[in-house]
Order: sequence, then C-alpha cells, then structure tokens
Amino acid sequence: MAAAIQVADAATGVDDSGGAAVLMLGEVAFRDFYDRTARRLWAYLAAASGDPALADDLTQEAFIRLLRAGIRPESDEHLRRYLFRIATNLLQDHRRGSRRLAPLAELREGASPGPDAAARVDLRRLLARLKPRERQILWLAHVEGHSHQEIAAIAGMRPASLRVLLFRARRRLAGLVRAAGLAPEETP
Amino acid sequence: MRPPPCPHLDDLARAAGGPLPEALARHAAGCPECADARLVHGFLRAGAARMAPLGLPDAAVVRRRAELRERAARTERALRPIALFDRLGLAAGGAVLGALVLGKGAPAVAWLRALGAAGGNAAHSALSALSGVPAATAARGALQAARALRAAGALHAAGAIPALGAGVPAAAAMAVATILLAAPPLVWSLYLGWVDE
Repeated sequence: MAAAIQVADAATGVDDSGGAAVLMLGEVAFRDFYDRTARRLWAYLAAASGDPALADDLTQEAFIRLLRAGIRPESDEHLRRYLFRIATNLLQDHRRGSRRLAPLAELREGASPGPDAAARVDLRRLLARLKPRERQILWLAHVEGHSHQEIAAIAGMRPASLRVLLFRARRRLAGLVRAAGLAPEETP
Repeated sequence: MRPPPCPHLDDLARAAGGPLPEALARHAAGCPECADARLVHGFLRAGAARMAPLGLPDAAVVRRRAELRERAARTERALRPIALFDRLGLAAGGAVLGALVLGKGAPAVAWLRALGAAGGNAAHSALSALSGVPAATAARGALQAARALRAAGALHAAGAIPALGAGVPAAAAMAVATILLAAPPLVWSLYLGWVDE
C-alpha cells in the first residue's frame, strides 16, 4: 500500500513536505493537474448547466475546494474523479438555489463566432432538450469515459439506477440527433 | 421494465474513436443500443472538441485564492471562541448591572443620580468660571456645586449612597460589571492586533 501511494505521489507530484491538512498538492503538481483538467471540467459544467459563465465560476470554485479538501490522492484518476464529484455537487447546489437553469438555446455564445459556431449551437440546442441529470451522465460516460460505477459515485446515484437512466438518455439524444439530421449517415 | 443492457456496449466504448473490429462493427450495425451509443459518442465528442472556456484564470491565481480563503477560514475558526466569550462577558455584565439596579433598587439609583447631579453642577460652575462671567455669577456657580456636593454628602450620610467601606458589595458588583463589559472588547482588539502582526 505504501509503495502504491509512493508511486501515485510520484505520478501526481503530491507534495508531502507541508504538514498542513490543506493544499496537499504542491504548486507544480497543481499547475500540471489544472492545465490538464480545467478545460475538461469546464466543458462538463458548461454542457451540464448550459451556462458558460456559470461553468467558469464553478470550475474555479471546484479547484479551490479540491485544494482546501486536503485529500491525499491515490492517483491522478482518483483526484480527477474527486474534482468532478465536487463540481457535480456545486452544480446541484446551484440548481437548488436558482431552481432553474438557463435554457441552453438562449445562452450567449461562449467563444467567438467561427466555422464551428453552428455545430456549437446544435450541441447546445439538443442538450437543452435533455434533463440536467441526463446531460451530466451522458457527458461523463461518453466524453470523460467514466465507468458506470465511477459515474454513479460522481453523480451520487446507485449504479442500477444509473444504467437505466443512461440507457434512456442515450436513446433520447440519439433520437434528437437523428431527427435534427445530424447523424453521420443522414448528413448529405 | 428495465431494458437489458447490450453486453457489447463496454467493448464499443473501449473501441470508440478508432475503427471497430469487424465482428463488433457487424454487431453494432444491427444493435439499436450500440448504434445509439456510437452516434451519441461521436456527437458529444465532436461537440466537446469545439467548446472553449470564456476565461479561466491561471493555476497560480486559483491556488492563491484557495490559500486566501483557507487563511480567512482559519482566522474565523480562531476567533470563534473569543467571540463566544465576548458574548458571554457582555451577557454576564448586563446581568450583573441589571441585578444591581433591580436588586438594590432605590439606593443604587439614588447613588447614580447624586453622582450625576454633582458632576453636572460642578461642570457648570467650572464652565461659568472659565467663560469670564462676573465674579458674582462664578461665586453662585461655585455655591451651587458646593450645594450639590453637600446634598450628595447628605444622601451618603442617610445611607442612600453606599460608601466604599459600608457598601462594598455594591461597589464590587459595579466593578465586576465594568470589568465584564470592558474586558471582551479589549481582549478582542488585542487578539486582532496579534493576528494582524
């Protein structure tokens, strides 16, 4: 076990020199982790919430809470799952607070207009037709590549419930993509 | 009714993004669940690749914010017991004062009133004398002050004003109340000064 932690520490660059219970990640290790993860976490939050500006805020908040959590990560993947779990909780807290998320179709453009703008609008428009929880689990499964157990842990669900919900969400989004003529075999 | 998951979904997920093995591709073509999974996977992955954050701060900025927040939280935690004692001190001081005024009744009130009157008259006399009014007026003011002090003395003689010796309990209670009321803010300010350093 000790050897595993040492390997994990070497992989993540965890700084054990500090005796404090918080900010366990050293500066270099945190920068490395942040640079690799921040954009992915932001995309998850933007897709799940439908609000790029909110995703900005929640991404920062999730990293701050991760730093202050004082956890000793077992591995890089463990740290990433923990971060996504924090972000998911923040999103749910925000949803409870605001009672309503902005519809994705009405959101302002996150990035400057370009050749991909239409595709981004398609993504937002179709995701807006799903429930927030469906957006979350689809993203975690298909973009982040998490297993059912991992998604269940991140989203705070039972794996059995998740499997059914994921199946339905996938079928629904697939139907929407086909109906919009965006399926590869249907695009002219 | 729960739909049975396709046993090939995991294989499909592992192979996503690259060419599918022939057997898996043949299965996926005829399996609606796998077809949905492939479609959704491609659609979301393509969308994710096009998404760009508005403006995430640098890692150092986020780390600095975490440190500042942690420091603020530590200070707040450290001040919590002092704040508690401050409230307790104020409550105890108020209780002692209340008990003194209500319990002693007339003597305590008379004591405070006599002190106030004597002080007010003395101040009036001093101001009159200093403002350059005729000597007669100044003398009248001094006389008033003397009368006030004499009245206080009479009250004292009558037992209305407890002397330090005779009324130790009341004087001690007043002192305790004063200390209880004054100490918490003093301790607090000392601690804040220490924290700032």
